[in-house]
Amino acid sequence: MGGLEERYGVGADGIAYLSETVTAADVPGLLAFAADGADAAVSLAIECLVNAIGEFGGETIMEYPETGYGLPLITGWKGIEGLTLSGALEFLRSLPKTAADGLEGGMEAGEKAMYSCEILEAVAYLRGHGGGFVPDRVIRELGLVLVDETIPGAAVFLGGELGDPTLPDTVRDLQSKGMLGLVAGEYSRAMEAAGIRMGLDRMLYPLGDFAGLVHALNFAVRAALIFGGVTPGDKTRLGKYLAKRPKVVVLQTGPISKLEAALAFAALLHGAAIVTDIDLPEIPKAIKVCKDRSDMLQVGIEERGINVRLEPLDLPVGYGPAFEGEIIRKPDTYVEAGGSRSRSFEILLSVGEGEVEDGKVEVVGPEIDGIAEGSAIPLAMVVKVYGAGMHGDLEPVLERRFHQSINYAEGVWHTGQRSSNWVRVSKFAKEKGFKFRDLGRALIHGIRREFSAVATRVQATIITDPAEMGEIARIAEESYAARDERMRGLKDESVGNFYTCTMCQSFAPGHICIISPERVGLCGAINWLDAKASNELAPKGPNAPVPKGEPVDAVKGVWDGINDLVRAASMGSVEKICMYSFMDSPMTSCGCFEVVVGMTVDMQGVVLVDRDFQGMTPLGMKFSTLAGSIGGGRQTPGFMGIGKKYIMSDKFISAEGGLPRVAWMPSGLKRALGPELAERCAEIGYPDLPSQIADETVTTEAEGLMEWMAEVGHPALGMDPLM
Amino acid sequence: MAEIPSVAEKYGSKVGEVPVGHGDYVAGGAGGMPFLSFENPSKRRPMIAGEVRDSLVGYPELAAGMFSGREKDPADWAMMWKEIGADMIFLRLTGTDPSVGTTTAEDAVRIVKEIDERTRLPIMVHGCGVQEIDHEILPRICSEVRDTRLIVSCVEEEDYKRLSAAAMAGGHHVLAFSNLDINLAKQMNILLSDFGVEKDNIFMDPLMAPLGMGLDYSYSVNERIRLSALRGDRMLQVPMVCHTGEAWDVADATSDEPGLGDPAHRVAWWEAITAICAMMSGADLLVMRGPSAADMVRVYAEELAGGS
Amino acid sequence: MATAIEYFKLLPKTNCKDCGQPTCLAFAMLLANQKAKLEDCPHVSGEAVEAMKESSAPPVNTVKVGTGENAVAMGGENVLYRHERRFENPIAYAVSVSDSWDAPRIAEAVAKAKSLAFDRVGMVFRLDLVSVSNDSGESDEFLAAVDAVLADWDLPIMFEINDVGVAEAALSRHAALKPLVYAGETADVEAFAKLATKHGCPLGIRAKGVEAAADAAEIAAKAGCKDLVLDLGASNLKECLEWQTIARRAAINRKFRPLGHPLMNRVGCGEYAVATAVLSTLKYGSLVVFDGLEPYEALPLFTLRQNIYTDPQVPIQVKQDLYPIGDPGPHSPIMFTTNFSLTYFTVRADIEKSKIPVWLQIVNTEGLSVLTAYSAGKFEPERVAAAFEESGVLDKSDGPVVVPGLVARMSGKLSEEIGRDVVVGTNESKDIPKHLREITS
Ligand code: SF4
Ligand code: SF4
Repeated sequence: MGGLEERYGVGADGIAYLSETVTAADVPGLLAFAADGADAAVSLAIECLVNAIGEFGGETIMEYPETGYGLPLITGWKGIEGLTLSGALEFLRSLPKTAADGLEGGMEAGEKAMYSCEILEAVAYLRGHGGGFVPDRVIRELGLVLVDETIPGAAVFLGGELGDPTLPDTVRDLQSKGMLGLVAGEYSRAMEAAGIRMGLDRMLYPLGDFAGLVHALNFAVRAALIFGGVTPGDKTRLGKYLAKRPKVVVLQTGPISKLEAALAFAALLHGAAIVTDIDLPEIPKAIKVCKDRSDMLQVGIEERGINVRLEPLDLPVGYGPAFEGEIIRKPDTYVEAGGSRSRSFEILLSVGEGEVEDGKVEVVGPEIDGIAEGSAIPLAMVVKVYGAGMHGDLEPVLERRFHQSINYAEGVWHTGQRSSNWVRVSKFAKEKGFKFRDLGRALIHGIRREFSAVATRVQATIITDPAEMGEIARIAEESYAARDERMRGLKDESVGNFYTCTMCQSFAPGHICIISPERVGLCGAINWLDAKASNELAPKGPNAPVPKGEPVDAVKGVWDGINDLVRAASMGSVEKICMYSFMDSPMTSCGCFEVVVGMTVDMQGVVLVDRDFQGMTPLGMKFSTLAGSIGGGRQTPGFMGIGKKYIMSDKFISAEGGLPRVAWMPSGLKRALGPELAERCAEIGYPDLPSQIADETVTTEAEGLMEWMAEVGHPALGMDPLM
Repeated sequence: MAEIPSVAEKYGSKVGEVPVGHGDYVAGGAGGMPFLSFENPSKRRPMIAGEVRDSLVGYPELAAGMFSGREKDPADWAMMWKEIGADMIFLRLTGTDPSVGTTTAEDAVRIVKEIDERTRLPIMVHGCGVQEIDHEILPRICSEVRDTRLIVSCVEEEDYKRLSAAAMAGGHHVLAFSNLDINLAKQMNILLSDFGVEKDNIFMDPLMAPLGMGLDYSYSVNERIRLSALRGDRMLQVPMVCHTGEAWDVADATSDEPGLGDPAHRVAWWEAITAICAMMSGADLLVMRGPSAADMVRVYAEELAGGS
Repeated sequence: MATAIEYFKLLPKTNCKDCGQPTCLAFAMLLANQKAKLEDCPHVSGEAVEAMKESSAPPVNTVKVGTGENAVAMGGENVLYRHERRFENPIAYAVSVSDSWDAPRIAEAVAKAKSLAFDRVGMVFRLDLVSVSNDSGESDEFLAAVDAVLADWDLPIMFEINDVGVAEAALSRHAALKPLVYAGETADVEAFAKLATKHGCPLGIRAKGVEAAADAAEIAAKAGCKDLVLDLGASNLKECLEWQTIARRAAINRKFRPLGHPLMNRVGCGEYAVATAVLSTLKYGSLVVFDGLEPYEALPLFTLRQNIYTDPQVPIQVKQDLYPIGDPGPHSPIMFTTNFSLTYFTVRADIEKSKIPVWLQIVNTEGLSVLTAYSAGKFEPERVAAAFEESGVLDKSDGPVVVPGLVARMSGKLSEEIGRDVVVGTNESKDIPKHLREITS
């Protein structure tokens, strides 16, 4: 401790008091401990200042070397510049005594402690014993890459003990992730002892112990002042900026001292997350306990939401979109799976934190070398992911990425999904050294590349041994069934939000799709779950949740929340929409609808035309004419563009009587709807309906359709006319 | 006489005003559709920036011939623009791409400083389009050129953090590029705001397609952007920048085909019409290539604004 | 605007097909899109027509000058911004000749007017009208000048006549051509209106400022004149922009009928005249009359008109064809993309930047852009192969076939279809020059 006394020019007592440690605390305990530390730090700094004034005179300006920000924390948070030694004394004396209640109190304590430490360290420079301060010049370089996330984040090492066996691995991990390490406390010595070289060139920077931690904080503050354009003293904006970046996580191990406890709160003030291995209370997004030191960095990365840059995937074959369209013919195939030649399936499962080891690839069963050329093998591709924001509804969205992840590999081909997939590995790829293991690596890479925000840990298992497949196959089947069930079970009434889709506004300015559980987007590509997932993955993207608001008309599907949104989005040109009606204020149509619904000329039924049908319809208009007349983001009562799946929905033009209104559709569409059409008709009590719906082989004329409807006794004839 | 019903729109919002250069030039501030004095109290005409390059590789000869040899030195070229009446210099550093020229980072900084010292006009700096090089050179300029507020051109959705951070650090502005889509334009501004760039440090470039090559799309996208901004969309209330130099790339503008008239006059009109469309649809800053087009447009804009 | 269903209610619903549509519904749809007139159905009742006319008449009158397929329609606008729907009737441009000129000079001017016609991707851009100006103040000279024009001009014409007597003489002779009579600023609005109405010809009048113009329009309307074109008498760009905006907003937003007419400008020639025309093209003009127009002014101006008046909801399409860029040879790269105009323009410009000659094959994707077309199944390898087949490009060059990066997925299938290796190009058009240099070096 002798060094510290000399460094700050103070007696031993204050330092000793601040160095008292604990290894466990509950919330009030920690707060009291930190508050105590803060007050003691203020006293120590006052002692230090009084001595310094004696030595250097009260008018001496306090500033760190090579900075334009004097004392950056005091400048940044308080807006005070050009502080002299006496000014600093006055400033410290003006700080109120810390109240030890609540997180607020903790933050206050942190603030006081950091000002005190900043003053202590500045006096150390004055006394010629300074160190650990990062000059502006370095921040302009390093800070730039930190805020633009080329360096994804920084880890502050706090505490530590000599001979910690996990340290070298943690540092290696840190460096491989391209993160910056800032080292305080005993950690510097531990690193030296472990032979780890520090220095800015190694992205590992020693801050010095005791009050040295403030240099991490003033680094962050200056980054905000420099790159965030924050005005010194603008506390709100500073806090807001720091909450986003630079992304800092504090890894605290071993007993924690009074000063460290107080400064830990200061770190929270700077948007850092703290991971500790002692028994401190957990505070969401602030303090997290992790007893396994080798796991702390990963936990910290997840807690602070640090996006670790992805290394390019290094495979024995080429990898990228250029190979996505490659076709592998039978004679070029070395081995294949699925495609009804063998059992094959793929599944992505969201699991608990402990059930997945990030980056692990496992091959269960023979590798590709152990398989004879031309075989069709059983194959299961299983990816397990964990992430705080991950949940079951996102599984299919992530799973859909498999296709691209695999096809990007040169000489490897994939099609289909779930248990009807089909994979081929070419002779070429095999020769180049492609392994099943690489399949797993590609899968992990794809998930990380696209979904790092939700899936923070990804693991892949490739199973080629049929004996090992039973259990996971059962889980997969259950999961597929549950997903289908979930979508079927979702009703418009049971959710609070619908989703928008604004993707098509680029060519249909007034158009906005409202996607509800029972009504897919009119291009057919986006259902409610997709929209929800896409919103979670890209909150500012084209799919935003819309609270339905109060129901205005349950039959026609009118809610005031939806109307407000549509009115705003269309700048008032669309006043309201009826989700379940095509006659009264139908949803607007953009141009990419799969099917057009149109009223028949006798006003009794509707005609459905899909975009693949190019012939004449009983409306007297072809699809192309209809599309041209109703697109562009307008409402055209009597006509509406829809997604195919909506036809099978309970809510399909339910205001006008639903499916039994359908009098005509092209045979191709009928085929595409498949057996589901018959099932659906039976379900709603119209088992004969499929045969009562005419198609182009029956008639393409208005009169013909009327005759047909009369002939077959079409149910729509018994309904009220549409107008 | 007949009483005409009032047609002035009460939008309720306006586009932000952004000082550039040494603070004596300000862009933006529109409170209504362009030049309509009955609803837009701002008498400010759009600023006109003249294009200057550090390398003439790939620069149209026809255009080069209009600068009496002064195009060979960027600072001198910029001076000529000032004489023509430009309000700003747009510096395109094509020569920093080693496959094009030999401009080093030091050269680039020097060029910017020289232009600033000689013209005292605000400057917009554009890179060469090679990401690694722009990432190195533009931040250098941002940090070493400090006494004039630059516009750093341009950041895109896929690549905005480095240049925005560098611009912020130097107290400069950024130009947010988006590709002909109001939602993308808005998205860019949201991204930048999220990143900490203040709204009054953002300009947006929604991509002005030249006459005959998609101008119709740009014209409508711009109008929609401006109307939304006036009607209260905060994320679109930043000054709009339109490049009109692309007009020189249109075959009809410069071809020697007989019967089309003199190419020099034709391309001048081609660019001038592109620029008029840009400012009529809301542009606050026009980046122009040809001196005669720039001159025409400035004169007309002044007249339309009713005083300069 | 009335919707298709509202029109449908008025129709007899007999599907008699006399209107040329298979059903009344289809006809109603045309009406709603203003592609037909209610009168085109012979069976619709008179009251229905009247009822509908009131509510559905566009806020700006449609005025036709000339006859037959060359007739120029003006006005009929419904919106203030083209993105709201579209602008209906393109602005017309006219060049004026004077009746004080001798016949050869007139012939020369007409020949020059005719030369202002440019063939552009399937469209002809041309001057719409020749105007004959009664500078002499005499009927005989005027009629002679008209004859001199008509000798070589078969598109619509207009008359600039300030004297009712001369106008009477001119119309008595030429009313069948339905010329526009532009009286300019006149105290005889009523007389001119009666005259034009009598002869069934459209009338143009000039009055300075929107108020005066509205008054004049009212006088003309009272005299029975329906086909009116208003010149607001702007003397500079600012007045032109502001007055025309006020007039059009009053007509559309406030349903102010007196200003619900097409607007025109009489300009001179040279830079300022062209600038006025540009502004008027953007902001609500329907006719600009020049003293003269040079080809280097006409081509950009006509291009502007084409751009502004395209329907924003119908993607502009380029013809499916092989477009040689530069001077491609037997080893030049073959590239292809969709026929969406913007895609074509961008790709073309970027190829031109590279200075490397390329065979560019445009594939008909019904105007959809690359990704949209691909996902809609309109940009499939089969279609591309068929387009190659049709143009024979594969026999013209053995150079690399470049697949747009965004649809790299089709590369395997395409390679199979055409029996040739393909290379995958860039995702972004702007990277084309770099990629071209790589694959050709
Ligand atoms: S049609 Fe599809 S892509 Fe377009 S807005 Fe609707 S849901 Fe979105
Ligand atoms: S002519 Fe009239 S009644 Fe006959 S089909 Fe056409 S709209 Fe119907």
